[in-house]
Amino acid sequence: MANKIKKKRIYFKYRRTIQIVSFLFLLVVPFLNLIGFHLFNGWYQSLGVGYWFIASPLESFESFLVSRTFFLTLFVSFLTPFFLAFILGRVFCSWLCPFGLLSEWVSDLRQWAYRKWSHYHHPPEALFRIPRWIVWIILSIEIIASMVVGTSLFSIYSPPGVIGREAMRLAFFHIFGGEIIFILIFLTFELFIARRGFCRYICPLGSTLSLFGGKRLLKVELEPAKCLDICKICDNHEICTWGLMPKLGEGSSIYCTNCGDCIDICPFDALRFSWKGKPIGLSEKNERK
Amino acid sequence: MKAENRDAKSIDRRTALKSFLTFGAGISLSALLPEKAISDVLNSPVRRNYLRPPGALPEPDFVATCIRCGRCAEVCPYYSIEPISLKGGLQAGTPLIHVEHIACYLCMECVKVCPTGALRDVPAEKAGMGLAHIDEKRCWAYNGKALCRACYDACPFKDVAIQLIHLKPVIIEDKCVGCGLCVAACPVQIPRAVNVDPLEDHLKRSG
Repeated sequence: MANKIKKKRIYFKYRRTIQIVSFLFLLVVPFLNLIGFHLFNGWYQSLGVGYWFIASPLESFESFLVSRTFFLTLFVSFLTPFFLAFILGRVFCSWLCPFGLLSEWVSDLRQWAYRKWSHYHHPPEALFRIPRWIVWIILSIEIIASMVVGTSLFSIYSPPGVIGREAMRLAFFHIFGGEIIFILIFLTFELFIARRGFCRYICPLGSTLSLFGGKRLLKVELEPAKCLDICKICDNHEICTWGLMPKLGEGSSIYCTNCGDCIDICPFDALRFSWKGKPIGLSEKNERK
Repeated sequence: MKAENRDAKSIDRRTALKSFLTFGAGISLSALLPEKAISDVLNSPVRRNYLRPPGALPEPDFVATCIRCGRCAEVCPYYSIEPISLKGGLQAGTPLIHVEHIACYLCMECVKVCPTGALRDVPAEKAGMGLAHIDEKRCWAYNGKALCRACYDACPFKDVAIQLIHLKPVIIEDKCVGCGLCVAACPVQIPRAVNVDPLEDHLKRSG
């Protein structure tokens, strides 16, 4: 049982710190701008650090497709997240996304509530079976619908964008714009219907980043020599919030976000990050008590 | 990889449909807001005294290009630019200036931060936000109630875009950029004696 093995959750500690810093960053930037400090500007739809512009890849792609105009600034802003995903994979989802943090908390709440009030030991991942490849269909629908309507649709309900926009509205105009309702809908969906359901089965931005990270250099890999066959800790669905099975090699699948939770939990250090196939990382510093 | 194949084999149409519906709920919520037919879900919020920031592309191109990152609103030192709320339907999040409330001071900071090119980096003289019109029936200078020249004093292009002819303000249509400072300054209230209307050809799709 997972709770009998005490391990330092090294990656989790770093990851949660970065997530919280990233979330607070979103809340603080509007206030900095309010007092006239414009070094940091915007949020995860488009972020400006001085003259370094970063634009969310899906929105910029939609903007390009819908307006049919090539704009060099937008292309350059697109490159930063593209190369981040190309090299490190979908790390935005698990290390930076402000909605990811809320979603993980809701996921913990869901697991806790199941354990407390239900006879299931392992809560079901979703109320009904959702195939994982649905994200590709939703991504295509999203892009085609944007072109039909004539505006970038994802920019309206993009959770990281909405959190930033509402924080900015609160700071500047002391009101909510109403888009916060999307966050509530998605979190309710994740709480009652599918664990991390929006991130897993819907988010078109996540699937775009998945596509970019298809041939990424950083992967979660299994060392079969160290792995104990009967141990199912990492395949136990509670560990991977994405519902992947690292034991079957899904750590290198297109859906993995390199969050490192399975590496943290492995009692034999059989799972580890690999860079171009060579093992790297902090896993040997783990202490078992 | 094995697990993926397993997933692919066990397709359940009902479950797929359900997840589609949940996804669609978000979109339809904004699309089905009152009095909006499908044909004008992209109904432009630009109208008299409600204008896009300076340097904006023509209206259909603007909505197509803008990714609603709100950086123009954050950088605006006068808090003139406000992202539209969800009541704007599919326009939610795009920037709009209500010139009766706070007009644009043409500092041109917003055009420098726009990453998408929805706001083009143009000089203040070519901001092209709209065109001011003076309602001579309501204007105090025209109907002799006062020697008012508030709009003339407020204009950033004094004597170029607006002139005092026989002590009455006259707008020079070629030079006015529609920043709305005259509207904010006008002492005649509801409706103002001077209003900014969006440019006609900016509301149509360009080529």
